[in-house]
Amino acid sequence: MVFRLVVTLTNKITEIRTLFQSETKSVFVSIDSINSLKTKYLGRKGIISGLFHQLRDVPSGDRSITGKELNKLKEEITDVLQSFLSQVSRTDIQQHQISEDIHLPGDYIRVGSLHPIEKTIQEVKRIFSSIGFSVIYGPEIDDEYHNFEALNLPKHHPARDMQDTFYVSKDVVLRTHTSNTQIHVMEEQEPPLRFIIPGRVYRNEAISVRSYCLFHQVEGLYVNKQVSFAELKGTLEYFVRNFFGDDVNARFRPSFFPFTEPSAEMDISCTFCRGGGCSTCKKTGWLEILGCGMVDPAVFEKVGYDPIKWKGYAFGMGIERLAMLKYRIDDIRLFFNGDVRFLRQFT
Amino acid sequence: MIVSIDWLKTFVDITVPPEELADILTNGGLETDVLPGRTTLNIELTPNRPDCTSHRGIAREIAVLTGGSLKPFSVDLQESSKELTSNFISIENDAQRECPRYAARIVRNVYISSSPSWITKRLEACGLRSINNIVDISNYVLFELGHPLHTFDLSLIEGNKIVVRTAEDGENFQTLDGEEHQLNSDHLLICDGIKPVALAGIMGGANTEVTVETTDVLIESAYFDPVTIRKGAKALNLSTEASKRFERGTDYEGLITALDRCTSLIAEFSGGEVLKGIVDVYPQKFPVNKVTLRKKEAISIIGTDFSDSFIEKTLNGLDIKFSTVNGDYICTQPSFRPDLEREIDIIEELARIYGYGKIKPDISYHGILGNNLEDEENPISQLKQFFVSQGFLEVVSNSLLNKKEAKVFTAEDIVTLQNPLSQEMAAMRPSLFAGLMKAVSYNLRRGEKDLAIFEVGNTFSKSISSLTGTAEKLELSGIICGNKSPKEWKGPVYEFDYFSMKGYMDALVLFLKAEGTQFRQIKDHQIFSSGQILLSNDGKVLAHFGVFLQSLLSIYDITTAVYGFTVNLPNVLYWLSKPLLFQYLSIYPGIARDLSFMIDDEISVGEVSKIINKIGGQILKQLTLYDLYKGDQVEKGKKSVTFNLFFQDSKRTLTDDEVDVILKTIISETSKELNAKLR
Repeated sequence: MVFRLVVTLTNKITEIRTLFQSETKSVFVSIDSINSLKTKYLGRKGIISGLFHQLRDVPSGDRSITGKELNKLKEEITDVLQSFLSQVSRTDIQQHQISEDIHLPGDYIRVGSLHPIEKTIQEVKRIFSSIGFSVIYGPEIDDEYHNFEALNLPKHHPARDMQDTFYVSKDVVLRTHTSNTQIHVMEEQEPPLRFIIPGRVYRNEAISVRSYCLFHQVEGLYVNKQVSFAELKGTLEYFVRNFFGDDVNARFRPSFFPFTEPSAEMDISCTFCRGGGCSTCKKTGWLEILGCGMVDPAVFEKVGYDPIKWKGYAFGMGIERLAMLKYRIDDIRLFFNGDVRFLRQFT
Repeated sequence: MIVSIDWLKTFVDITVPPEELADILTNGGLETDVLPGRTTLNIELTPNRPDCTSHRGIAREIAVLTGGSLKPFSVDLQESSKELTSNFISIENDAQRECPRYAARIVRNVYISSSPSWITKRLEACGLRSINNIVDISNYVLFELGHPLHTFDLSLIEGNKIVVRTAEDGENFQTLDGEEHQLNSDHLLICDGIKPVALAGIMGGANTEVTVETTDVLIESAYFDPVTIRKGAKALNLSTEASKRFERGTDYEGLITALDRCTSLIAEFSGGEVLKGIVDVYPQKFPVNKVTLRKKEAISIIGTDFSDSFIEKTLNGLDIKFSTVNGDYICTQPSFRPDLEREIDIIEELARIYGYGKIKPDISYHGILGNNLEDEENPISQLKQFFVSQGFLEVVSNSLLNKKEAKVFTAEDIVTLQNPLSQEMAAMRPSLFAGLMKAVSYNLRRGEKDLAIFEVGNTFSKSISSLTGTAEKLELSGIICGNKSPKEWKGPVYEFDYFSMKGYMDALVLFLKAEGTQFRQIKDHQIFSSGQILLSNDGKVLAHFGVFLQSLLSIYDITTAVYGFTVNLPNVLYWLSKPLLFQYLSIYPGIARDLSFMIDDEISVGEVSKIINKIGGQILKQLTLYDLYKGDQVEKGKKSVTFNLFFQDSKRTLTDDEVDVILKTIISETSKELNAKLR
């Protein structure tokens, strides 16, 4: 009884092999016929699966040899069907052959783009976010107090000449910098603080190649128990390296802003001439890109922070200026007239 | 300010070439360029440094920045006359607050001529025209020491006295440039016994000007309150070499040195005799300000280890007198440095002279500060990215526009400017469409006709509830016009139309995953002739869109149809910030069926869809209108609409029979409600 089973299974393997060979000899090779053969022989309820099922009844001594033979048959069938399949695929491609000239243009797909100002703001945000700065926004129309007085810019101070201002009413202005938001945040929150403020600012200046009546700024503020000018330098140099690349150098030189003391301007080595001297950098090899400094204690007093306990640094940069240097744009008005030939370049 | 290198050399040794000198000054905080010819420098002065408005002041900077020393300067004045100044003039100060100190000297029997060439050369180098020896000398001392002086023809001063008083509102005065000014009580006047003779700190009067006939000269050297001078000059829109210095704060102690220097040069180069004594009205001396500089604090704020010897050398170089107490420096604020009031101001001087470049950058990262907030515009960036991926170009436009233009877009009150650059920029935009329209018009004129653009920005309106009287709203608006695509070899050109716009809005709803959003028609819109709003399932307006009125387009010379939309960002942000949850995918096959009806032309497809959706219920996964026909093949006044319906259940396989039952109900309901006939 046992002997008969082994013989039967071995015979069956030979039988199935012959059957498969005869079936594949006569068949017209098509995807459908291959798939039906695959189901018939290799499917979950197929012939091979049935034979494996019978293997359980073969005595353990012979099971391994018979099993090997069965596996060999399965491999043979798989290989043959696979080779058929690859032949068929080739024929199928021929069936889908393109009758048109393939050098004809492709379908028109509209490609959009972000504005270079937005791209630049996103880049600045990304860099400062990576070193722990939050992002905060504030109003474009504000009272004089938040735009000037609280920033240590009293009404009749010559420093007011540094920023020509649009007035909405007697004490209400279009902000001349996003520093107004520094004041709002400090009025509402206790230190420590670390954030940047991107936004639109206005200056009452005639429109020309180099200046526009509005522009975008990103300002930063960091307030903590111990903050040093050396940290301000470290942070801004990190920014410059990330934004312009490792081969750009930064230099800091003393300047004056009513809201910072000490104050500094940061220059970078000219991105046009690599420091050699050209018309953009007025032959100096340096380009002014931002103003910064340690928060003036008078500003902390205005918002009710104890200037003995808290120190801070602040910085501010013009986005158009950064974008003009990065993309080598020579006319600031291009940002604002909506010329699609300009915008399409920033995909 | 333009300075002469040759002149600077009278105060400090300069051995470096001009370019290097300019670099030294620039790195010290005075932005300096070498002017053509390489004998003069142009220095951009910051408003906090009145002490640098002179050659002596710049020389002090050069000395301290290069480690050199400032040459001593003193005036050797010979009072050659036996007469007393006070016999000829007395000072009556009725404006003590505005003029804390007023001093004067007299030189008699002067001979008015041209100046010696070394004076005219130096003045010309600094951009000043030579007038006569007296005027030139007062200008010379101004550029040498930084203190403005004024010279009067003494014979024209009536009543032997000088009166300092504030002007009366509406009082008139003619300055020596011939201009007639109307003054107000902010102005300070220098008068004689009868009449005003100078607009204090700004410009002298025509009536007492030094001329070729002058023989006796009264020289004024005073300290005027910076705010008074600033207000006065601003009110007249007048800025002079004198006013620029007074409004920054002049040297209230050094003004005597300037007076003596001027007097001595006038005596020397005009042959006059100097009267004995100064008349000097200075009743309330400026208090001496002592500032404690703590070395530890300086090191902590700058992040650099300053040595005692460096600190001492720097203080000395800046002419700051100091003593040391317990390691702290007790500094006396110099009278010529109004900017050095506090410890932090002196710390800045240390850092500045040390050199910002030498301070080692520190890249300590202080971890999360507890107030780290998420960027609230992140979702807006996502939305921008959505429109960019639909092929839209982002524009940024001017938020200032013409008032009349602004009113086209809103029925509300607009925000206007008191001092606009021009009438074209006198109002704040009430809508982003104004800028987008200008962009369309700009591009059309350049042959760019097929446009899909958008902008994100604030729009402005009046608001009584806010402190500034204004309100700002962040919006996203977009516009499409022209063709969807250029002419292509494959087939016809499709124009953007109302349904292209609507398609973008459908896509927006999908992107937002704002299920249940309905489109409602808007009637009598201010800017659209036809349009719809998108109403979310909780009744909030997500967006509105439409086709612009021809009357609006004609303002911008646009003749083609333009479609626009505005997304209401606050309402949309809710959907963008909603947590995203995976929807179960049904493993059971669905059933698709078509239904074609004939309905009256005036019946909206929306009404048919509404009935189908209601009856179809949960298992009607998708309803698509794929054919709409009006014309010869159907009866007049009718239209044929064909829908594809796709049914699927998430828990089981649907049977044909149950779908048929639903279809039958749809057919009978649409027939009853809308008189629809199955085709």
